[in-house]
Amino acid sequence: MIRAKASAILLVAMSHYANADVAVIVHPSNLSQLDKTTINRMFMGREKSFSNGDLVIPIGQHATDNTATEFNQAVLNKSARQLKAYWSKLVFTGKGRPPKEVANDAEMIDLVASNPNFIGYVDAASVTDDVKVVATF
Amino acid sequence: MKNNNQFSLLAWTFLLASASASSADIAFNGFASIIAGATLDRDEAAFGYDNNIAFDQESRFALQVTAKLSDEFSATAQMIARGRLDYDTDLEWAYISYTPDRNNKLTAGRIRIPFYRLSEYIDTGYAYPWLRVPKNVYNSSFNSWDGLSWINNHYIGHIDGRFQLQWGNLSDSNLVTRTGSVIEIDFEGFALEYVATSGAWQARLGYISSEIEVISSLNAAFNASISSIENNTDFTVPKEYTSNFLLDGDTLTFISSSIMYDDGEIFVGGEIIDATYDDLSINPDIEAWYIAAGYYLNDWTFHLTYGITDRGKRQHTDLVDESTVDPTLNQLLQGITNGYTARGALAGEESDFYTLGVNYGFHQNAVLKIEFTHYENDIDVSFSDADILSIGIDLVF
Repeated sequence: MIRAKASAILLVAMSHYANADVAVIVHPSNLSQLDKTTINRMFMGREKSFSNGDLVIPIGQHATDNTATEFNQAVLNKSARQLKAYWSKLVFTGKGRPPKEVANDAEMIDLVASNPNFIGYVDAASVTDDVKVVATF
Repeated sequence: MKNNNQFSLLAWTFLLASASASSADIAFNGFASIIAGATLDRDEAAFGYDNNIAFDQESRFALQVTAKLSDEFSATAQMIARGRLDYDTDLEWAYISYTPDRNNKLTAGRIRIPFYRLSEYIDTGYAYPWLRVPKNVYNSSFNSWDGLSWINNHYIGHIDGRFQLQWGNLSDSNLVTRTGSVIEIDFEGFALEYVATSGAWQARLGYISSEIEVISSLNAAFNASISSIENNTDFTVPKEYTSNFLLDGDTLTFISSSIMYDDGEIFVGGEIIDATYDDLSINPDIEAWYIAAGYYLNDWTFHLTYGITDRGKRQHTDLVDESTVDPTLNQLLQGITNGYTARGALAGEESDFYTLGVNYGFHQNAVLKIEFTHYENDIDVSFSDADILSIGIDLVF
């Protein structure tokens, strides 16, 4: 049932953003409504809860990856180096650590499908039914 | 004394980290800056540089260890070795923190005093565009104190807010005066900081109120003269006259404010500080500000900064009301003023500077920076104008 609904949302999302490249994904059971600002704040370590109160654990991809570059530019408005500088401020003042990183889309999908607290992003073409797309950029 | 204190903190943090090594999540991070600089003219000196190229003035290495003991408790220590101090290791952060919920954090230990916008990561050059933070504003001779802090994060009306309250003190700390003299002081007070972030904008306000107690000083002779004047039997000395000559017991009020816009393509912003002492003091009030702008182009960053410093000059007549003071007493006090003046302690400053810089990110974790600063002093001949050229690499690991 949830899976069917997720697929329906996915289809809507996919058709709505026909030219989109990066899909932001969560666990299929995660019903949060997420706009760009919220996703930005989650990946910058500012928003720590989903709308249902559950803890947010953002997952990134290796900075050299095209999907990561695309996401960082479109959602975070930062180059890889600017993002690293941003996280240096938080790491060296004990305020936070950057998101853990995965090596590729398949690993990201496996991870996000395994835990409702995770939020990640993949190339929109890699999306499977195991995860739910909440936004595409 | 200072070293003992640091060593015990260091040992304590590592004990805590190692005792829990089996269960704790331990992270090591580090950063380094290797900077070489020199003034362009034989007669010029600034920021610790003269006409000979020096590598040790601003170079530094740091290692940080964070042990996460549970979701609520963690311990962090950051050790910094500075070239200026022969690479002796100094502990500028060492604290345990308690995070009762996602929006609040309580910290106890050695923490950074939020004097400025970049105070907390002032040594992490990789985190900001300059090779050297604007020295007219960033002029405190110490960065950390021992104490407590409470941080609250909140999100209201599209603005991410961070409020911080600190209480702390410092013992036997070296206050380096503008003329290079070192005065040993105790420092105790509180700090408030508020940072608001929304999109590309960030605004900050900081307030520090602190009492200064002078432990020992190069000015022991002055102190003795002041005591002898106070204890004389020939005439009564108004208390404010003698206290005006002493830094001891003064309360420093320090206000700083900044606004910055950075959208990933350009940045522009500024910061202003205002330091005042409650007494008419030998330590002049300071007002300083800078504005800066920069442009990011792929792996390159181009930036420029302009700033002004205004440090009120103290005259003998500021400290003593000559129309009412006993002439003999005035003569004695004048002797002290002359002594301070000779050491540059009462000197004013009206100076401005500009900095041009180019950064090239040649590696994901490393940036090469080249910076030129022209400093110009408008009233005080003891601090000459200077042109400083610096080149350095900032990295994080």
